[in-house]
Amino acid sequence: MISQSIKDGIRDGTAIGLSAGVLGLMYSLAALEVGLRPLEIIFYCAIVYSAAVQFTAFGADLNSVAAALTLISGAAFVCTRNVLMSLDMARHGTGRPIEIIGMVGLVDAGWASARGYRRGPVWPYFWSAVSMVYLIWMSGSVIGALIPVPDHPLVDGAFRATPVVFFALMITLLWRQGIDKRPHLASMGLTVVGVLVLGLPPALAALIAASISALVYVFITPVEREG
Amino acid sequence: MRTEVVVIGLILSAVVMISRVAPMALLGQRQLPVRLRRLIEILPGCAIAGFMTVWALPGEGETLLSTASVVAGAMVALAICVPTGRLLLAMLAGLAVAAGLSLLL
Repeated sequence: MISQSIKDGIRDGTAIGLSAGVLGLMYSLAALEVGLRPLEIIFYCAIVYSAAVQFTAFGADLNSVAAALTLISGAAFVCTRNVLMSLDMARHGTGRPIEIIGMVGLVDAGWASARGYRRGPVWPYFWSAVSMVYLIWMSGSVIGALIPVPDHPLVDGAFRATPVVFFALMITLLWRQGIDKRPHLASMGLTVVGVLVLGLPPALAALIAASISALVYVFITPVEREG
Repeated sequence: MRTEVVVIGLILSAVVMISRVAPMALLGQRQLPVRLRRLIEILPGCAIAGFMTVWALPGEGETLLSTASVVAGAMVALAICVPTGRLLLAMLAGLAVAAGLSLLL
């Protein structure tokens, strides 16, 4: 059973990881453009391991306490979904320290694939999947930092679409597990309203929209129909 | 490597790792109310949907048409992955469509 879980994790982690690798490649190219050196890019990717946080840190400095606090609060804001995913993974927890330590590899893709896994023990699946995602993410980052990528409009178009397509696939993983689509669709709609109609900052609009959608859904859905 | 980059990297790493590890470490063995448990299950997906939408919206100086290729690519990926579960095929097809349309639009 454990070996089956590991095999499944490696298979799914490779499929997801290849898209994460493209994301790592895209981050490296963007980071080169803002002046980071190849070794610095690889360092960020290796120890931060969060494209969304790394993108928010472009242009960050530590010249004052205010600048440092802005950096920390911005990163924490982006990381709010990590808190929720970590709590959700806790339902599989048995209290072993290795499960808690394993959370350092928790990313959207790992959570989305592991939360619906039923063919065997979850933790071997989770660890093997997130290990593959990390390995391929780092490979993409190193390639992007060290190997010149041809400057072509098609490449630019693909890179620009990468984060959106990647997150669309994370949503798909959840939908295929039978999770109700309505709160996700509502979150998308409310985010559009928040940004385009109300003029809210994009990240704030996304978090407010997600909170409203999830709260409304949880409180209007009868408990016996949930699950 | 520049010292400032190392310090910023360590700060960001600390924030990210605390957000991943601390919730499970602190609350993992607690029994949570049913609705709170449901909220925790639903909210991350809603947040992912929200952030995905943010990246698909036009930035400053852009029009809705300028991000149409990105949206179309994501829709193609969804259309392939929802019925088949083929992540890699969906990713490649979505990116190919987005890249192709970015030349046309």
